[in-house]
Amino acid sequence: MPTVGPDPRTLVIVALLILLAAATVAIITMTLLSDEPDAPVSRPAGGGLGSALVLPTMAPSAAISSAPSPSANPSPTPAGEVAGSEIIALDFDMLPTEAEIPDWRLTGVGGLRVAAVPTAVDRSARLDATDGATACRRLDVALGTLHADFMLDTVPGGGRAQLSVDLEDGTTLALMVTDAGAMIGDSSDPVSLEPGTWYRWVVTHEAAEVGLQLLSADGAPVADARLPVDDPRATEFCMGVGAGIRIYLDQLSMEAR
Amino acid sequence: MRSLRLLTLCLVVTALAIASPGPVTAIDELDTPASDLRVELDRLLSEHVFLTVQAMHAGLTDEDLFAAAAGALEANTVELEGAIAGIYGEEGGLRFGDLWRAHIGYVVDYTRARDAADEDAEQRAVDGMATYQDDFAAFLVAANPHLTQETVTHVLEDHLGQLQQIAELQSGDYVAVYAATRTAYGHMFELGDSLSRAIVEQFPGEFTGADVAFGPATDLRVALDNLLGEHAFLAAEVMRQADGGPDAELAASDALAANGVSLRAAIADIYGDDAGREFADIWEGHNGFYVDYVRAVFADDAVARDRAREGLEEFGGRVGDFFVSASNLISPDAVRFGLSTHTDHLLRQVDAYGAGDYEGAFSIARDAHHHMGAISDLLATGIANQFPERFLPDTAVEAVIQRPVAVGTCTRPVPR
Repeated sequence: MPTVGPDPRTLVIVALLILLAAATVAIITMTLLSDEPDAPVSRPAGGGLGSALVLPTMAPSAAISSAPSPSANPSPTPAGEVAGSEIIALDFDMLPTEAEIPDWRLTGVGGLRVAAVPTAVDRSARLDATDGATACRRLDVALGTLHADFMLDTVPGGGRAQLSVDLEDGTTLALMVTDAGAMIGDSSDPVSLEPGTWYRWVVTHEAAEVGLQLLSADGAPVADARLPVDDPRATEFCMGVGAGIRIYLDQLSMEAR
Repeated sequence: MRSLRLLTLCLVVTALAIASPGPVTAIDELDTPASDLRVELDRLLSEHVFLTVQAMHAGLTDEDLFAAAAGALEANTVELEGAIAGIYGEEGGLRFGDLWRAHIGYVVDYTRARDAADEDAEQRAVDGMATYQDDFAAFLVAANPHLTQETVTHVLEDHLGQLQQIAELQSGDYVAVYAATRTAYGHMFELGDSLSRAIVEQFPGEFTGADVAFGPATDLRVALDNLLGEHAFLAAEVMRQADGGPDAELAASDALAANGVSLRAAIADIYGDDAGREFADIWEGHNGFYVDYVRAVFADDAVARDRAREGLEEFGGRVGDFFVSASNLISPDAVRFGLSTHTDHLLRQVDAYGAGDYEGAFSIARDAHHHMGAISDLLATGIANQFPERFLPDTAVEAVIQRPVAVGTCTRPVPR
C-alpha cells in the first residue's frame, strides 16, 4: 500500500468528526434496552485474524456453513438508490469489483470501493485510508430503523473508526471504535470487537426515543443505549476511519418511520 | 514401467538453463518419484470428488451438462486407471477401473433416487455401494500388503458416506453441500497419502525419495495443491451456479471465500499476518473480478467483460509483486506467467460455458485444476528453500543452482 504523507485538511476533518461524535455522546443518556435483539447478523466469521494458522484446508466454520447470509438473495440495487417508500437498501452486490461507489461524499486520503468480501458474490463497500478518510451518503428520511453491517480489519493502536447518522436537529448518533473497543454511549466502557468479524449497528426510533444497538454475529446484543429525541429526520450516514484502518460496510438499510 | 513419472508432467517446473544474477532454488530436491506419486494420486483423487459432485448435481438438471460432467469424470477415471495400471499392470488397472466406475454410478443413482423419492432405487444404490466397498477393499488389500482391510474399509466408508451426504443435500441446502464437498475433497488427500505411502513401501526401488515425499516440504506442496486446486474447482462452481439461483450462487461463492481464508492463513503462517492480509486483498479482488466476468458473459455485456478481464490480468502482476516482496527465491516472472495461465483458464472456461460448450468448459476446468499444481510446486519449492530449517530439515540442500525458474504450461498426462 502506498504511503502518503499526512494531509492537514484530513486531520482537521477527522478531528472535527471525532469532536462532533464526542459531543454527541456526551449528551446521550444511557439506559439499558429492554427490547429483544434484532435479527442475527448472519455473516461468515471472516478472515479469522489472529487465529491459529495452519496450512491444510480449514473446514468452514459452523457460522459459514449454517448461517444464511442476509444478502442470500442479492438484488441489483444500485448504490444510492432510494426507493419511493423511503426505504434505503444498499448491499453493493451487483456493483463491479473495486469500482468506486457513486453517490457518496468522500473526504481525506482513502477510497470507498466495492470489495469481494465476504464473498465474491456477496460484496461489501470498503473504506480504507492511509491518513484518515470519511465516506458519507446523504439521506432525507424520517428516522425509523437503520441497520448497517460492518467489519473492521486491524485497528492499530490509537486508531479510530466511526459510523454515524446525522439528524436534522444537529444531533449525531455515533458508534465509535478504537483499539480499546466500541462505544455507543458515553457512560459505558468500550466493548471489545473482534477484527474480521461482522457486527450490526442498529438504530431504532420509537415514540420520543432513539435506541442504539450493537449486535454480534450471532445476533446477541453487545452494547446498547437510548436517548430522547423529537421526531428526527436523518440527513446523512457517514463512515470515518483513521490512518491505516479499513472498514467494510454492507446491508445498509434505513426505513422511514 | 511401474512409475507414475509420466503422469506428472504437468507438475514439472521448467528450469531454464540460463544464468541468473537473482535468486535461485534447489528445485530438484523436492521432485522425487515418490513425491510425484503422492502429489499425482492426491490430485487425481481430489479431482474425482469435485467431478463426482458436479455430475451428481448435473444429473438433476441438464442432460447436456450431465453428459459433459460425466465425460470429465470418466477422463479422470481413465487417468486413475492408467496410474494403477502403471503400478499393478494392465489387469490391475482394468479391475480398478471397473470398481471405480461402479461406485460413481451408484452415487449418481443414489442422487437421482433421492431426488425422485424412489426408495427402492435408493436402496438398490445403497446395496451397490456396500458391495463395491467390500470388493474395492479386497482389491487394494490383495494388491498391496501394506494396506490393511480395516484401514481401507474405513477410508472407503468415509468417502461413500461423504458422497451420500452430499447427495442427500443436493435438493437445496447449498451451503451444506459445499461444506460437505470441501470435507470430502480434503479427505481424498488423506486417501491419496495413504495409498502412495503404501505403494512407496511396496516398491521402494522405483519410488525413491520417500523421505522427501513424506517430509515437510512435500507436505507444504500438497497443502498448496489442496488449496489452489480447490480454488480452481470452486471458481468453476460459482460459474455454474450463476444461473442456478441466488442461494446456490452465494453458497458457491461462500465456499470460494472460505478457500481464500484458508489460503490467507497459509500465507500468514509462512510470512506473517501482514503478508496474509496483503495477499488476501489481492486474492479477494481476483475472485471478485472473476465473478464480474461471469456476470458480464451471461449478460452479454462487452464493456463489463473487458473491465473484468483487465482486473483479472492485473491480478497476476500483483501476485507476482507480492511474492517478490516475500521471497527472493520465488521467481516473480514465473508466478506471473503461472497466474496468467490460470486467468486464461478461468476466462476460457466461462466463455465456453456461456456459449453452451459444456464439454469444453469441463475440459478447461480440468486443465485449470492441473495447472494449479504447477503453481503450488513453484511456490512450495521456493518457500521450502527460503525456510530450509522448517521445510527441509532432513534434506541435504546443495548450494543454490544458478538458474531462474518458470512454470511450464500444464498439459494433462496422457492416459496409458
